[in-house]
Amino acid sequence: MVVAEQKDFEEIKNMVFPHKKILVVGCGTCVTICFAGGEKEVGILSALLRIAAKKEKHELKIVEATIERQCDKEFVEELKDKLDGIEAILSLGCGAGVQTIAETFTNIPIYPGVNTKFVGRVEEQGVWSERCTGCGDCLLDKTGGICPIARCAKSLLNGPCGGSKNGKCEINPDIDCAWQLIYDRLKELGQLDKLEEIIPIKDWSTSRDGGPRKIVREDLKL
Amino acid sequence: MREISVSKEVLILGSGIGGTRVSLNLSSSGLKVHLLERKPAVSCLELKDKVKQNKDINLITSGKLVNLKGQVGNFEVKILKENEEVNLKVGAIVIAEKPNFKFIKDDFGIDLSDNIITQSQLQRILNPEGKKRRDILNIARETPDNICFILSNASQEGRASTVFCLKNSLILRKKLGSEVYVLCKDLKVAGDGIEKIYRETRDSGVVFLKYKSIPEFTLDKDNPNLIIEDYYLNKKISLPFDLLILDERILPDENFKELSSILKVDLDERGFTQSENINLYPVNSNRKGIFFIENHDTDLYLDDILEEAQLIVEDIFCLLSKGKIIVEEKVSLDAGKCALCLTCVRSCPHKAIEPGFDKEADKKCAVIFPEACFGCGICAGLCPAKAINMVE
Amino acid sequence: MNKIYVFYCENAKEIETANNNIKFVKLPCSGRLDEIMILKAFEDGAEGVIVLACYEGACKYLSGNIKAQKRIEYTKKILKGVGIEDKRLEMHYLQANQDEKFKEILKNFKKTVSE
Repeated sequence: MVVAEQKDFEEIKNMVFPHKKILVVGCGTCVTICFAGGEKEVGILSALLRIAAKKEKHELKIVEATIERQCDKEFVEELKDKLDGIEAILSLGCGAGVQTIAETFTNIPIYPGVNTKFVGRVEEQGVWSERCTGCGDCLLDKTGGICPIARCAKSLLNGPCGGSKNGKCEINPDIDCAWQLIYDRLKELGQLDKLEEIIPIKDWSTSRDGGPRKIVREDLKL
Repeated sequence: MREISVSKEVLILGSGIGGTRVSLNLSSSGLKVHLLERKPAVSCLELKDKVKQNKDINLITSGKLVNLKGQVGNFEVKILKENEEVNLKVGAIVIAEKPNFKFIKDDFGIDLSDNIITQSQLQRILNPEGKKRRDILNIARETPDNICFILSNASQEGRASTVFCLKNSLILRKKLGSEVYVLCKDLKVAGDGIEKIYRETRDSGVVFLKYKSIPEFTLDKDNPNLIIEDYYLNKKISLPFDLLILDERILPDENFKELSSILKVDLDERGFTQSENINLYPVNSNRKGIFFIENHDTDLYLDDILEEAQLIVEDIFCLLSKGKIIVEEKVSLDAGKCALCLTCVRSCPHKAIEPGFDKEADKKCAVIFPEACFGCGICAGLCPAKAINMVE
Repeated sequence: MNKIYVFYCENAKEIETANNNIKFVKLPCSGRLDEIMILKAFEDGAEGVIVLACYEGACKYLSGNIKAQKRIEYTKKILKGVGIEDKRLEMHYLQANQDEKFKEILKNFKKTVSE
């Protein structure tokens, strides 16, 4: 899922304080699960903004809402009844959510309340880590199910660099060397011969480097 | 408030004295019992025949628990017996598997031998029904003149080794007339009748010596000695012995970890199944409908085990005897808001929440089982979607 | 009137003392506590918030007091961001018959928050 982290309170405060009435909107999927922007976080952030506003003798009214998903316009349109007098919208959704709202309510400024970080997994309650960068050309079959693009700091394709030490990456001793993990996994699978197949230079045009991407399925369009 | 029907059958894991006692008492109260034992025969020799003859006890030997689903009243249990699967539905489960007695060489600094044995070995010799009969006279070459028991630090943690030592030292003193010494640190006699046994043992002539530290040993073949620094005399005394009996540590059985993960019950920091939380002690686990007996070292003392067996039987009888229970929803979950993030499923200390399906909302979501819920509200405090609330 | 809010676990303390300056909020377990409850108290103008939980190892629901402690540590962090000092949120461990201890805690807290 998409993993995000709430921005620093000061940064959010500076975005919204020029306004007198705002809508704080959360999202019920990914950001709820990673405790960054669900209904609970909307409540907490709104309370903090009200306390700060009172302290700074600043008038600020807040309307709170959480919708099922911010990346689908049907759910975003549900917000139209809450926009009376709203000067700005603070969205706690991921980047896709913030922009869907911006594209739906084009005449109201919209601010992001979270930093969208990565596509990742839940390692345990309270710990989320990166697994996928959306490179658009998945090679997990060649690497025993471990991604060198997302998990190797240099996104190397054919083995570790000289900085791999005791299975850890040279940039941070807490980060596992992805190629060590790949080697261990292929050994467990009895597929070490895959390491002898050279993975050619990656065509990054399938990734963000090729420009913003779009998928169209004519057969599914209504 | 609503009524749910519950199974009137109970699963007991382990056939020691605790497990068999609970099985017999439960079956005589009208409930059907499945008694599961890993080994090919019932562990408790005293009650083995009674269990076999009882028509309401389904004895499954050489079997082990492999899976558990569901909540109190309706546990779905999968057992593997000699490669065959047995599926049962039970209303309650009792974990009656015993911990291990293990001799730790480092506690004393010497090895076991013909005349240096453990409490368990002595127990097996003195037990008249023991399969391996070894005449005590075969241990020492002749009737041992001097018998020494040593109670180590292990005895400070529970009463089992103290009680075994007192009882066995009395038996040896009376049976053989030898000089019997008990070397100990503090003698803890808190428990029904333990102080009485102590006095009886002392009155029989058993000598109790308090030591400052574990004795040293000189182990000449013909003249084994131990050297004890007596606590009160402040002097080192040399004590020859013909038979030395050492206590063992009580350690969690290696099966406890597997049981803990299958049954989703907590283990304490030492790896034992029983919690010392005063709200649960002595027989309740963190889950409703799952009970413990004989897993914790202090309760290997027989009177305690029998008392606990009675507690468990009463609790289970009250729970299951009518075949149905009335449950009250203490928390409500709004399926529409639930993102199935699994926070509540993981955080519930009673494992009363499972991923499931809400028929009304026609949606997959977390489901809180009121029959297993204690109403603590921990899930409500954590839920990131604010989907859970206390029912006022 | 600036009040002091006392969130208490019903297993840690049973008696609510009648007092205009104190607002008692009963919880089934200190683990029920969430950040919004504390923030709302400060929004309502509370001078300070005390949370009473059961001693470690004595929680009726096993891990509620541990969860409460983590919630409070987190809440202290976010309160700092809006200028509400650490000293205004305190967590104490109690059992039901410790009225005298509670009186001490309250007395000391009133002093701390008015400094």
